[in-house]
Amino acid sequence: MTKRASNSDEFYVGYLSVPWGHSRFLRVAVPVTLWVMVFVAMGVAWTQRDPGRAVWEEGPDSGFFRLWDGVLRAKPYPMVELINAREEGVALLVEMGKHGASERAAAFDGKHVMILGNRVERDGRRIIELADSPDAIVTHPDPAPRGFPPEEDLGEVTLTGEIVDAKCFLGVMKPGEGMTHKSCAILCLTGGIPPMLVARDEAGMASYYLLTDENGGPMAAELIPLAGEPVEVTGMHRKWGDLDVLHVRIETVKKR
Amino acid sequence: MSASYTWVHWNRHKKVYDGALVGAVALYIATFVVVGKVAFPPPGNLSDEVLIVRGLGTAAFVLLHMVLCIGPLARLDRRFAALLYNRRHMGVTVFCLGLAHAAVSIGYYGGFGVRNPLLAMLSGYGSLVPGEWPFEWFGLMGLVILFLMAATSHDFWLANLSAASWKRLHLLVYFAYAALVMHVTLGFLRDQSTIVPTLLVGAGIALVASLHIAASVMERRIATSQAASREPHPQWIDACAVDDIPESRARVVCLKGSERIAIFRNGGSISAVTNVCAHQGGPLGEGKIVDGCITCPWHGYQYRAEDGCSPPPFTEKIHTYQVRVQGSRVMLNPEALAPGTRVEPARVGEE
Repeated sequence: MTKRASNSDEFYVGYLSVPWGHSRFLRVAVPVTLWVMVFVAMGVAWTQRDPGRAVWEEGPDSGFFRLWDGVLRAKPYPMVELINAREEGVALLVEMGKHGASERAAAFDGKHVMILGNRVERDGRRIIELADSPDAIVTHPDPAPRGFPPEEDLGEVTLTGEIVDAKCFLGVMKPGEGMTHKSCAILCLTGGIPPMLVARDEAGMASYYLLTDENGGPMAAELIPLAGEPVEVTGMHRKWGDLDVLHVRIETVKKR
Repeated sequence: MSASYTWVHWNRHKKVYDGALVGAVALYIATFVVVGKVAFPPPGNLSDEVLIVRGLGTAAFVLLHMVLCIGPLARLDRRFAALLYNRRHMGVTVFCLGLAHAAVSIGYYGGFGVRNPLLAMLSGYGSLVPGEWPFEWFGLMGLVILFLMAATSHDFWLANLSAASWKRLHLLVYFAYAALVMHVTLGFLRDQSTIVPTLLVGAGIALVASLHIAASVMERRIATSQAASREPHPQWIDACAVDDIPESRARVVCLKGSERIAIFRNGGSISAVTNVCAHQGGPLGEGKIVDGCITCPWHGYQYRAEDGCSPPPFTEKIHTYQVRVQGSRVMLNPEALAPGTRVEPARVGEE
């Protein structure tokens, strides 16, 4: 085999043969570049922020629609106190997409209902995404064995965290929080998805609070643009069954 | 070189180049998605759409760094010239990836709701605070500039806009880069819990900046060492020694208030032309005489040394300059002659 020497006067012209020295150089430079790209892809993909453990039993064709029964509460946001044998507690109700379920739920306020939908769940906090069917909420033939749980007042608290839309955060989008999700959160909250404060303590443990105005009505629209940003919030902490609720005084909300 | 317009003048190099480019992009996105799925298994997984959005966006950003680095690299080491040759296709690929990233993310984050996703994005999602821009707007700025560049990347636009206007338009890539750095910094980086992505972005910016500075310093050093001094007669300057010009190559002379001039030696003949190629403004002085013609190192455009005209059937023309040899020195008249003006080459050893 003869060894060709690289000529320092070699000149590359795209429509002519590649000079041998250039060719030898490219045989090293191109694979090195590819490896750098692969390592960058691995590094960025591997070190993304953990989106948290959440489940969305998604889709009308996936066979994941479930049937629940419970007592429905329409305000400030639709929710149901589940009285299934296997599941208990409060679950929020939303429609598919970025749509709240207030309109559909209003006719069933205080009633014992059967609900068809998908389960969305994170850390035990649940949302039911109603099936796209007129029969997704129907009145149960039997009277409810019990009513919606009584409210418990736990006093004023000041919390820091992020305002999120409950549907995405609890599992429909991963991650369903942070700056890249801010636009989606704003559009979800505008569409009537219930707002939630995700408050984290110094150890990073998260607790979730459904946000209302200070009178227990739907959260003020002025707070929607603060979704996705770190905020400090002061309000009255109440417990509705297993659901933590924060009645927020709007003047106390600060961007951090 | 071409005498007519077609979509792409394919040759073997362009096919290999584009094949490697498409393969590299596919490899990057596949690696990103697979590693993202392995690192975050259900139920703690990232949504598939999020992985695709991030894979497309980071691929575009990485490729944009390569587009910006190839230019100075080719100045610092001629062996990178092959990567420069088809850089326009890499630029168009950056735009396509950016467009796909924008389309999927606007549809995913903005869709399924009560507002039109595109209009919602353009209006800042109703989150406008004076002095505060949504990070998506910086991405849109970058994408619009990349679109203008991709749409005018064909030689048809180069010829019709004029090389200078085309060059000015395509220098907007640095504004696009700045906008996209803001887009990434105010969006993706703010959501990350480790410093690795921030370090990678910082390293990318440092690489682009340092290569441009190095190429600029090298050019300035050459220009300083070759700056010609004016002799008493104002019309002629002492440009360099005959022996300073390598055979079939050029010395570049940089004069105050004048564009750079490339003085070529072809056997016993000395000729001077502008250093700026009529095609994309490539540095002709870093080129070589091939088949008797001055050949641009960027895309191989050719000009006859004696009149600055491309050989038929091509029609490009560049400025020429008068030269003469006095002893061992090359004397140059720095007044540019009209493009395509014939100038008899100076003969070495004939005064």
